[in-house]
Amino acid sequence: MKRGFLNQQAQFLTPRRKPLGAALLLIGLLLLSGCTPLVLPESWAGLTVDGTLTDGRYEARYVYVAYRDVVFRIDLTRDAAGRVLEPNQRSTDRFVDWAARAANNGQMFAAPALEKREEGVRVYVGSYNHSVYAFAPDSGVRNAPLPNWAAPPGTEKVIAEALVHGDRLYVGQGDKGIKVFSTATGALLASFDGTQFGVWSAPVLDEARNAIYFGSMDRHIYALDADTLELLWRVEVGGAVAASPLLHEGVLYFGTLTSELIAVDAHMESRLAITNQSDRILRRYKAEGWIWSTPTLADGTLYFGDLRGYVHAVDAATFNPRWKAHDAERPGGIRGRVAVVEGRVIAGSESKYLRAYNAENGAVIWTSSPAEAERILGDVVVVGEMVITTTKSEERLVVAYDLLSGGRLWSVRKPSQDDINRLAQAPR
Amino acid sequence: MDFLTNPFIVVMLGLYSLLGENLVLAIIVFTILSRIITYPLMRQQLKSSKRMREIAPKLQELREKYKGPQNREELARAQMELYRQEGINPLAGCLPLLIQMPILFGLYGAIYATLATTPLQFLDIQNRLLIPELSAMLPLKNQFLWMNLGQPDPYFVIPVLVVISTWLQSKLMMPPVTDPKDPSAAVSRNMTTIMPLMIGLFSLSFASGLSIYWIASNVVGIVQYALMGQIDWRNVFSAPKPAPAAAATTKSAPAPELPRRQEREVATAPATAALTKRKLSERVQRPSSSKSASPKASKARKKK
Repeated sequence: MKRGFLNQQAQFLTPRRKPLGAALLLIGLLLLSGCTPLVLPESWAGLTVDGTLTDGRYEARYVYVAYRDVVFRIDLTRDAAGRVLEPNQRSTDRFVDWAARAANNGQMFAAPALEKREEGVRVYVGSYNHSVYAFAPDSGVRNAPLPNWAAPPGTEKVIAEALVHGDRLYVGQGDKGIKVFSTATGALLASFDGTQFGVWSAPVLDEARNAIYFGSMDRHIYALDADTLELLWRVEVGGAVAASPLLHEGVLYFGTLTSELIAVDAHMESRLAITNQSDRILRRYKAEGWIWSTPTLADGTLYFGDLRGYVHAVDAATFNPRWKAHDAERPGGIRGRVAVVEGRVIAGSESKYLRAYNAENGAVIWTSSPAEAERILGDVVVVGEMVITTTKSEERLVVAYDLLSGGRLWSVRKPSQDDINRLAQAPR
Repeated sequence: MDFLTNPFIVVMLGLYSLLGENLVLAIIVFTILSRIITYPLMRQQLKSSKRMREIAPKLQELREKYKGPQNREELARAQMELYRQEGINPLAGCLPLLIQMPILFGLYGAIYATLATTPLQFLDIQNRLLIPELSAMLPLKNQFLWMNLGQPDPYFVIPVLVVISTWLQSKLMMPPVTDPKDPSAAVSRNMTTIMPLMIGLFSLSFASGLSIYWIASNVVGIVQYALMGQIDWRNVFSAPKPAPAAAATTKSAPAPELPRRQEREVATAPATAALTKRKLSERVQRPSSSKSASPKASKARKKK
């Protein structure tokens, strides 16, 4: 027996087998060096609701989604065939009434930013391929970016969602700084290059101060003049800030990749003299894992998830913890923003489940069913009685659940090129 | 592979911190350290492949003796007998390589992870940090000269250096050809050309930080081989010549380990100088007198 094995070894090692060895070596090298970096850069789907938000709930007809090189709009009032749904009528899908593809295979990492115009809505999304696109779903050019709107050369890769304010479009740059473009033409109006690393999230606007605030991956929070992008102040916070801050009564609340929730006083100079910018930091709260989402404020409590899978409820005024909850059976990080509505805190997790917690004590109300095929990384929003989020699965890219039970209601897949062409030719 | 990659990420970040937040320096030192750690394995592998080279003439003889498909089993048996007599484990050369492979994958994964540039890559690091406090270092300063180390080099300088260093390393380490008819020799020669080009092609789409790791690894490899006396600089300027004498001396006992140059001089001694060759062979068989092998070989050439 042993001898037979040795014979096999000897045969394998004869020179005639060496080309086979070379081929194996080549395959090994391919695996070692070729595979992962050749994959296109990608992120999770970004979702924006076109509607009004009241007490954590949107009233809206349309949801816009950007994922990879496609941006599309879902009409929540119609089924996949375009039939208008009655108020209590059920359907396992929804109607995609507009879709467009980015130019040059541009990969879009952010949620679309919307601008309401007389002629219809305008959609702006930056791409990882150093472009910012403008789409006009209600115009003649329906399946591609507007050809006469172009961000100028020098635009970096974009990871952040854009902010529209008046005729200005604020776009964080993936490697460094922030730029402002004209919404009319795409021309560069102003830029700020004072960050050491990229800006991966949308700035928030403080209209009273005519200022914008944003966090950077360089571990700082910045305040800039909204018109000139002149630096007003900046604060070192100890960790990269990947999500937009929440501005409430002059205080910025945001999470860091050092697992801290931090409150920074944006209006401090009107209340106290500042000797050191770090004086602006009012409170810190240590979470279990990285915080990659904007906290949600409801009834004086901040709710947010962390990448270790915990959902936290923290008193906004004192930062005293109210509760924190964790699903030990189905662990998975919570990347997206949580929704808080009617005493429920709803969080999507990398474990492929959505969970609703009691906002008072953190007790689990429901766990969604069935499990998704892929991780849930998108923000969670509530539109009417539906909880909507995005997953990493292209087949069920956008998923909706029942607010009361957590049962899945419908899902929408990523539109194909055929879908995009068909929709472009469809009568409006 | 996480059990290897994650500790390596910690080491990588530690080096980055120690070396003044210089990512390139951290990659280079990381490569040197990993090469030092795997040095005993590499040495073992070299020893083993050298022993295999030494008995190559005898293997060739056996192949001649047991020609044809009907003798395949006999050939295999005879080869195994030869390995047994010579005290060689034919798999001994593979084992160190197999042990090194996971380490290499771990290293590669660690560098790739720390060069994260997209949000999804960043998300992945969070679960890999064995020491959560290291989060404060992220993201790393990945700007070096004109390059973003997380992106491919836009001017192709680094891919060119990858090709040159890979080619140089394969050329310098190419073993002497024992049998010109052996198809594996031709494959080996082709690989020396194809592999660097292929790796260079990959590096066009690599993060340039990974390419820097590859270059550093090649350079450190060349230095290590040079220190072990395993490098023949003549390979760079010409194709390695076959070693007919090796075939001629098939009946002699396998030569003991010698520095490569001495071995080559023995191998290229004229076949007609039988007496001289026998003397050389005797010297070669005596390790204590191996240092004098080289001058004797020169004398033999002069006589001719």
